[in-house]
Amino acid sequence: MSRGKSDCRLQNAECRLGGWLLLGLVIALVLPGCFKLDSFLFDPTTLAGDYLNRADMDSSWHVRWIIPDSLIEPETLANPLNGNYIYGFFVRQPAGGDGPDLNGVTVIYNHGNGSNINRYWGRVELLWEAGCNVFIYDYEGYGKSAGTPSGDACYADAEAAVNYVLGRPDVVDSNVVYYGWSLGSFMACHLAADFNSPRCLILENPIASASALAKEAAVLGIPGSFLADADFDNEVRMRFLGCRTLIIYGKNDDTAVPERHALILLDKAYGWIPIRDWPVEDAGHSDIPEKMGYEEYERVVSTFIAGDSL
Amino acid sequence: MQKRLMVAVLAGVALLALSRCGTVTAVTPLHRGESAVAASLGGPVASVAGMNSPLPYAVARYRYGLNDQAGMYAGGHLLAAGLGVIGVDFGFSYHFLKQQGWIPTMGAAAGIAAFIQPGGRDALFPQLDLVASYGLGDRFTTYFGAQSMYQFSTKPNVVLAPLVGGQFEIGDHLSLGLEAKWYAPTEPTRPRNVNYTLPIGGHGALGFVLGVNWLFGGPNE
Repeated sequence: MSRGKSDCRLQNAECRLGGWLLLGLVIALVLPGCFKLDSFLFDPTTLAGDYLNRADMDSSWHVRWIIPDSLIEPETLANPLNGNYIYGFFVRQPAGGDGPDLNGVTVIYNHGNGSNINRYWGRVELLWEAGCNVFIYDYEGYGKSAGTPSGDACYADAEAAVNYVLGRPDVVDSNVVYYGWSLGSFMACHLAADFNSPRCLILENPIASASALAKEAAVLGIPGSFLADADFDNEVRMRFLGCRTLIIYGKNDDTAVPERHALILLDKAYGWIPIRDWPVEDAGHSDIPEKMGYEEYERVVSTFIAGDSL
Repeated sequence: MQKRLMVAVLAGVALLALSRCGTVTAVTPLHRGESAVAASLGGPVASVAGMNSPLPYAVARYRYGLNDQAGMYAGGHLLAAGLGVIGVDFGFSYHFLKQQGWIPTMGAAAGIAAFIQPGGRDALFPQLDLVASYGLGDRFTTYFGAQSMYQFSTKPNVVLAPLVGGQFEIGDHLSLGLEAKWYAPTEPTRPRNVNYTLPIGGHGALGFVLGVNWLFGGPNE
């Protein structure tokens, strides 16, 4: 294509545009590394008042208030990484109760990326109803826990939770189970693979890795570390879990974590650990117990924890 | 889960903007000794905070004419720098047909895009562009073709992006371009953690990229 003669106005316009381009280039080069994405992985809600205030509870969380207050013990723990205090609740089975017998099993519940303990209390009730003691805790920056959530901080929070539970006189080390829902699967897998092997591990709609999140979006295989500093990589950890593992996942999960994440983890685990999958038809990211029915959900979880075949 | 995580993932997408970054590398050949600086901005259309817009992926690229058919190029991926990742691409282009009647100018560009995280990991993607163009009048060029990117460690191994675009010269040195691109047409659009709002037949994502070229040096200087 030929190029015609220019006039002064065009030359000036060209120069101005060139100047803007140069400015944009300078800004881009001056700002390298300014955009950290880790904070976007967490979506906490802080609490000024008390936990488990009925006025703060959303009906979609399906809280039934079935646990007597006398069985709920609030706890504060110090994060070993930075000393920040995090909050949790230990819910124990009634002494001599007539509920399902899981021989004093305690489930450490690692919740998802949204809200705080309040949002997950309905899940605590289900595990308690299934016959387990449950310890749930808020990561840093969630609920009343101090600090700001990050990958390292969350891992340290999870370790503090395990240390607290194992330090209780009424908990037998070999009867501790880790449960992780969604983002909480990173903490649960970290605990099992890197910190202290549990009786078994249950993952609900887990995230495979930060890399898998990126690939879901970009199609290309991008290292997860490009996205986030957090060491969120369950794919690598699967073979090192060292315990029986159950992955429950919704086959109709249309959120940021479709069923492909569970399938990736199952693929990574086969041949390395005893792994069991439990796909739930029509279930999405947040409604697995509702789609399964509470009785069936509790049966599956308690049967797996007991070591019986599903 | 969905909302905030999607923002993070969108930023990740902006890191590479699916199959090829920026506008096509070389629509028409440069003359021997001629240089071009190009910048482009855009990507697949996605819904962010309820608003549909192309993801703002920015690339700056330098081209140099080795002769009237062959050239070389090197580019920097500006948004990648913002994420603490060094993103560069480089390669060669060759135009093997010159426009004659209905026969278009045709050329190919082959190169590698490299994304390096200092002290961390890296990712390399070989790339190949094929483009045919028609000059219409003195100042307008329309073109169509496809870009492709290759990855060997994960599926799909080939990520395509068919495209159509136009360039308009607004001076001796400056031209503006707009390119429509169908990103990853072989991949189902949903379920996926980014809401690409312009799939075609349930696959891939339609996107738009604006480009600007500044020519200098060579025989016309």
